Amino acid sequence: MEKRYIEDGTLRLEWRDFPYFGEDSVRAAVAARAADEQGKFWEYHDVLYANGGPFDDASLLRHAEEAGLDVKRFEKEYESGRYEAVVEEVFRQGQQAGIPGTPMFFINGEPIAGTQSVEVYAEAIEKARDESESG
Amino acid sequence: MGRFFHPLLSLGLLALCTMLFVAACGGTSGTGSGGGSGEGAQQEGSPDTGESGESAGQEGSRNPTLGAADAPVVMIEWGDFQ
Repeated sequence: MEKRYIEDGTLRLEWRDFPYFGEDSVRAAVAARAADEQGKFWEYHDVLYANGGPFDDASLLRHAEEAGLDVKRFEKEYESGRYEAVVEEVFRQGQQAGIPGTPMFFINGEPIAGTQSVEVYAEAIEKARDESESG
Repeated sequence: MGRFFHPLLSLGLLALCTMLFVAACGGTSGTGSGGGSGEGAQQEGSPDTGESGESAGQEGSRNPTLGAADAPVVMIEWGDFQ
């Protein structure tokens, strides 16, 4: 669904870290940022969600291979320590903004909490598109 | 009687104007102060708009995105992979 709206130029999707389940969540968020360095954040994102936890170092490396990353390069980035502060800062912003939990979506500012059906997101995206076109 | 009320009225009006002025300026903990959580949040990335964290000033601070930068609809996903 998202790909349809992204490919036709309607939608831009942006990820924000909200790792509130503890250390595993933070490790996964850091790993995903490391994957982004190879331009494969979304592939890795999909693999993590498909597999679920636990997210220890070994499993995160396996997921990197599954997502088609250069694993050695990924491991170097993951262990570099470059991304922890970024993840913490984004998480802090979310906490300050009162994000209640995950997943939490905003479609042109309209909140949608939790996992919803495809129709819910599609309706919200099309509504936002129509509103932006009408000025 | 009129003379008695005038000073009180003046003081009351002065107090009211002062309170309104302070409220308009955001008080002592508002956006104009060093904390600036409201404006800071917008500069660093509003939670519900498409403004990403690119101005966070840190290497790798850009939030991952997918899609055209000028897309009319922006979907922010706050997520935890667990």
